[in-house]
Amino acid sequence: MKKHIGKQAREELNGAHAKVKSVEKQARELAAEHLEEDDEIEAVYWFPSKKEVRLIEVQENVPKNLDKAIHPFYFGPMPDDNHPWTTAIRIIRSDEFGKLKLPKSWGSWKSAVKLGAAG
Amino acid sequence: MTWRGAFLRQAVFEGRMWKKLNREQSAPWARLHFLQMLTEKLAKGFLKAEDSTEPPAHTHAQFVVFLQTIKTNAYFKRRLGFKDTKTFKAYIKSLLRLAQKIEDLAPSIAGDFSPNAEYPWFDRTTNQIHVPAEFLFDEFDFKSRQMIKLVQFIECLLLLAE
Repeated sequence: MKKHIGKQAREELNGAHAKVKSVEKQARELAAEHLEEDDEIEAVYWFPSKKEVRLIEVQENVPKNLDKAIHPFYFGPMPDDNHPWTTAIRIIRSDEFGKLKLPKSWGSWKSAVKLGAAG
Repeated sequence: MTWRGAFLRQAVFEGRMWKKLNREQSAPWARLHFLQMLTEKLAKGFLKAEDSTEPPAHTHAQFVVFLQTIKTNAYFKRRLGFKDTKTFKAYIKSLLRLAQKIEDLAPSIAGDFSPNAEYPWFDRTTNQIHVPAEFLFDEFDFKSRQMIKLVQFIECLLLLAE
């Protein structure tokens, strides 16, 4: 049986979908921006979320994360740059990937999506 | 408590305040003000010998001096997880430009005619008096890679200071 949904519910669904896409778009834009800005970045990973952009950047010559946990740096929405979402970001070393404790709401390392890599 | 311990302790508290302001996406002046103050305290603390009975010098220009000093320091190299001096030096060098800009925000360094995060100043080019709380501090891009790298480094120092 075909399921009918109201106009409002459809708009909400479309809105939610658009938001998810928009988070990813902002994540991809920031990843590209940082890869271009700093040639020492080896790779950028995105942890999908509907709430905010969550990125992990891999680079060798940074201090190790002393307490073995990811404490992201947050910066807020920047509508002027067409970045409507809060961004959480952390730079780690390649040997820390998959080992550091992620923030609770980030899920597991398996959910990380590679957005770009050097070269 | 020693002078070193006291300055590092104050830096840790200012660091917590800075993190709160940052998390809440507070106005640029507030975040920069705390960033400038806490980096100064960190530098003054770490630059003091453990057993020194003399207070640190009354200067705000200490953070860049501190970075220059630790470039070849085995303790910081090891604690921050760097294996070779060359890589560590290159890493510290990559932070210097932004560190200098943050240090220059101290009112006594900025003077009456350059932006600082605490007191109004007079802009000679526009003949306007600016209020820090209403100033955008456009040259500090919080989402730039430089800022993210420097902030992560400062967080590491705060962990070492605790």
